Amino acid sequence: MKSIKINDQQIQYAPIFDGYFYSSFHSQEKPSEFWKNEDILIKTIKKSADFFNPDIVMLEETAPANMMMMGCKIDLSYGFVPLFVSKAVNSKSDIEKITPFSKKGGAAQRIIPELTRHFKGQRLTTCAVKAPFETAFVMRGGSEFMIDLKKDPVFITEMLDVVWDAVKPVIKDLAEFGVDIITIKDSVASSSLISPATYEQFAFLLEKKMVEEIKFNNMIPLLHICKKSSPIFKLMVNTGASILECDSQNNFEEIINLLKKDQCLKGNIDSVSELEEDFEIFYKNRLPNLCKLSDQSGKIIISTGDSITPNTSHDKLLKIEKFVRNYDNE
Amino acid sequence: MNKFEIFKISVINGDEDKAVSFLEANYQNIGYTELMELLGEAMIEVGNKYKTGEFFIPEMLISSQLTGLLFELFCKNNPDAVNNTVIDSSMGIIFGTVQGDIHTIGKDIIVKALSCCGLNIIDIGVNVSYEKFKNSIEKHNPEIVMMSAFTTATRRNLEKIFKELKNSHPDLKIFIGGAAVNSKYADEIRADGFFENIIEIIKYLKNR
Repeated sequence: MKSIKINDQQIQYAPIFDGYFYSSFHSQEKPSEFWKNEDILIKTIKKSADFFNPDIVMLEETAPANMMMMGCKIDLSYGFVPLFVSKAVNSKSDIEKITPFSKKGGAAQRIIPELTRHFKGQRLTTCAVKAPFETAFVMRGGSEFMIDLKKDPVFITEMLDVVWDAVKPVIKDLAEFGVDIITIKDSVASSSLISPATYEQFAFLLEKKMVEEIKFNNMIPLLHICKKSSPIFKLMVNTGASILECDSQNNFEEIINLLKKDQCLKGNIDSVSELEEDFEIFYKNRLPNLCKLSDQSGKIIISTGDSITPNTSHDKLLKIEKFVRNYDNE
Repeated sequence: MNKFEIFKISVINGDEDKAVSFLEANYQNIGYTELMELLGEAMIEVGNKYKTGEFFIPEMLISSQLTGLLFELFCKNNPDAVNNTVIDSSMGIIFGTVQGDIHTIGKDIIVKALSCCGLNIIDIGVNVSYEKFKNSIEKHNPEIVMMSAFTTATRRNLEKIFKELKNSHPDLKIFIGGAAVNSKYADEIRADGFFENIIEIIKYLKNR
């Protein structure tokens, strides 16, 4: 199968195993311990990369740490994913309390450089940074944020500007740590949640700014928006991100035609319906079609996405990896 | 278009000023059941508009929030009408959103609406674990437990907590609701039922 050349490395297959899955891979540890213990985190990321052989590795889920620094309380006791349980911005006056944060000084200062050195030359590395829109969503509280988008857009715009100033330094820190790709996470900017007009008004320009900042720091910008994103895909392309990550609800065949010459699609497999519930159907039908499309276009990185649940068997992931690597349409 | 239709449209569009003004002018002309039906129909229409792509989450939340506010205002200002509902107010209900899920708006509306009927409804919040459900059941001895889940990922938690509760409290009626579940799923896990909306809950409580 054709591969995509990024930073002199050939990319075909990118299960970005982030915290959701790492904790299951190291399931003998309690998830709460996993998130707090950097030795376990480093060991598990190395071990799972060796085991599943992805071309791109997620080094850490930076989002929870960032949000904690910004005053949101997080519940680590639940199953496999940190859950934001309290918000940091309850009123307009709280915006003033948001201060720029850095990855230097925290656990990331050790974890990320150690892992970038470990993977150098073998696999590309990425860290996820929440876009201002999604950061503000968590800080304000999901429902309140969504209501404010309509009822108090001025408040949201002010908040987004301050959040952008707070998020920006993280990009520079990650560049200094040697990270190859920044995954801009703007999951909630999805057309499953907000209208394309709202996306354009509030999320798009800040994603574009992030892309520019990432490129300025000599890294590769990858833009991820969850679920339905075809209605805004043209705008996503116009952010200038090098890799656009879309979920399986979107018609990959159609949207790859909108990509510019230097862009590619990271097409996610659905973590529940395809990886868990109807795996055999997916494996026999959709996976070969995806590989064929990727082979013909040379523009798709096949990916298991970053929301693999702990219930997903390791065998299924290995089976996909083997199929993708050995696919030969001829 | 009659005035009730205009009221319904103002709720669908999240027009708080119009909807509240109408209600304030009509406390004596509208019954609790009638209000519940009007608001229920409005919310169904909002859901349909979401399905067809006309509405998105912000619009849905604004209408939902307004619905909760209208219930609250009505109950506060028209207690006689509320007392005339034929629901047995002595029954206890515990309501929680399952662990892993922090969605609160749908649950809050139902809690507000049922509290208006004088029901002893105990809201145990969001991100509720089996232990919290169990402790609350032991403390309050309810007749009914309602569990909600909004995301697909937390549906598994709902099933797990449901089964554990059924094992420890086999006689307790446990109902489920929320965007992540449906009546087919309720049958699969053998829940006592699935409620699509507040109207279905009230109908069940009236007829039991």
